[in-house]
Amino acid sequence: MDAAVRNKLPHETRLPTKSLAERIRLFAISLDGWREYPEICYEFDQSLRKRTRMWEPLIQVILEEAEIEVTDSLLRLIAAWFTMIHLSAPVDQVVDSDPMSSGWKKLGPVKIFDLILALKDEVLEKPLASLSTDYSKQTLALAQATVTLSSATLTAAIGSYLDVTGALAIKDEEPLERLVYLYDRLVGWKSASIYRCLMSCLAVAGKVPQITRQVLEDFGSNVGYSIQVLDDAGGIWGGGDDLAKDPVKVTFPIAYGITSRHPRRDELVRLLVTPRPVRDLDCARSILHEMGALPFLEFLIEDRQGRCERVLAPLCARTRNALLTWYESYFRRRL
Amino acid sequence: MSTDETMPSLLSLIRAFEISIDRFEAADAEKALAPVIQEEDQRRHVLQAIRRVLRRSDEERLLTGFVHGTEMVDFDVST
Repeated sequence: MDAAVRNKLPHETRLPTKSLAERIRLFAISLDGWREYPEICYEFDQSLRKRTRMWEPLIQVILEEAEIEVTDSLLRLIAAWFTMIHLSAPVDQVVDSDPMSSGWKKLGPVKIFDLILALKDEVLEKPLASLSTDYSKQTLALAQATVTLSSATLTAAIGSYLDVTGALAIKDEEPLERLVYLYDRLVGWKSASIYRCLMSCLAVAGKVPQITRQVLEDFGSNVGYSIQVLDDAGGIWGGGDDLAKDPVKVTFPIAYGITSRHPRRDELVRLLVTPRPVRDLDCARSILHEMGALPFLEFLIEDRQGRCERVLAPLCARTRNALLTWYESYFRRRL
Repeated sequence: MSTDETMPSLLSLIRAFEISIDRFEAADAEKALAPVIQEEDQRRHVLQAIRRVLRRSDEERLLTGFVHGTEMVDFDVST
């Protein structure tokens, strides 16, 4: 079709010329908030190229299962989700004093938060503002989906308060089982909630039956939980510095180590409460390895896969298998 | 938003994993999990997952890359 003709078509009815992943990415990097920050936007773009391709098959299956029409408004909403996920990283990095990319670092904490808040406003308010004021079921569904996204990001933010106040810090006097219980719940409030939210947005925007929405949300929660497990493995063995923090906070491998009945558990706990300059990080890492923390994390991912299989049971076999295959390949790609 | 209270908690899974390491091939392995996971179906699923993981060779391990340092760059998978 001639470009001039295509441009005359109503915005929502233009023929798709790009992949779903590409269209989502373009909406996300076109946000006004990025305009003055090309270096950070470039970094976001690089991350999106990878992330949207990884998530595209999953989104595609759900859109087909629920017969959801792919409109610009819907893609803008999904782009908003990717943006909010991406913005959670610099927030966590500032809170934990973790290393940041040079683009973010140059801004300093005030400008970092100014930019994050401006983008947050843009992705959560713009979809609503761009909707037609004419009442339609589709307009209402997208508005509800945007509120769902806003609510989930607020849930994750409130969950972060616990982290910021040091509730997950390992201290001498702290009952360790209580910390592990808290972490388990916090992952539900943060990571699981964020990934559940993508499923909620698609389900609400697509006006799927309540049972399908519940199935997709439960699947999303389990995916989010496993993503946190993988992230925490990286925090110890993948170049992360979770053992070098002061104080050390609970993550999945640490939760396993400090509540294990392994003979070296007390030695590990002593190491973790030792002040940073004299803490032997290699020794702590090797104790976790000896305890079997990695196979335990693998088991957690496997256990969540089993839970996914059970929650997806009400869906048709084709969709169920497609979602499970996606799960398998998402967590197997690290082999 | 909350964790499903009907499913085994992280602490229960830690205990179940520890119990299973020693006796995951034993005929009574599922019974041995009863003190930490009450529901029979859940015990079966948990044991199956543990067995799958523990039977894997080093090459088949999901997280092998972390140990051997092949995934050192992009550890922040959530972003």
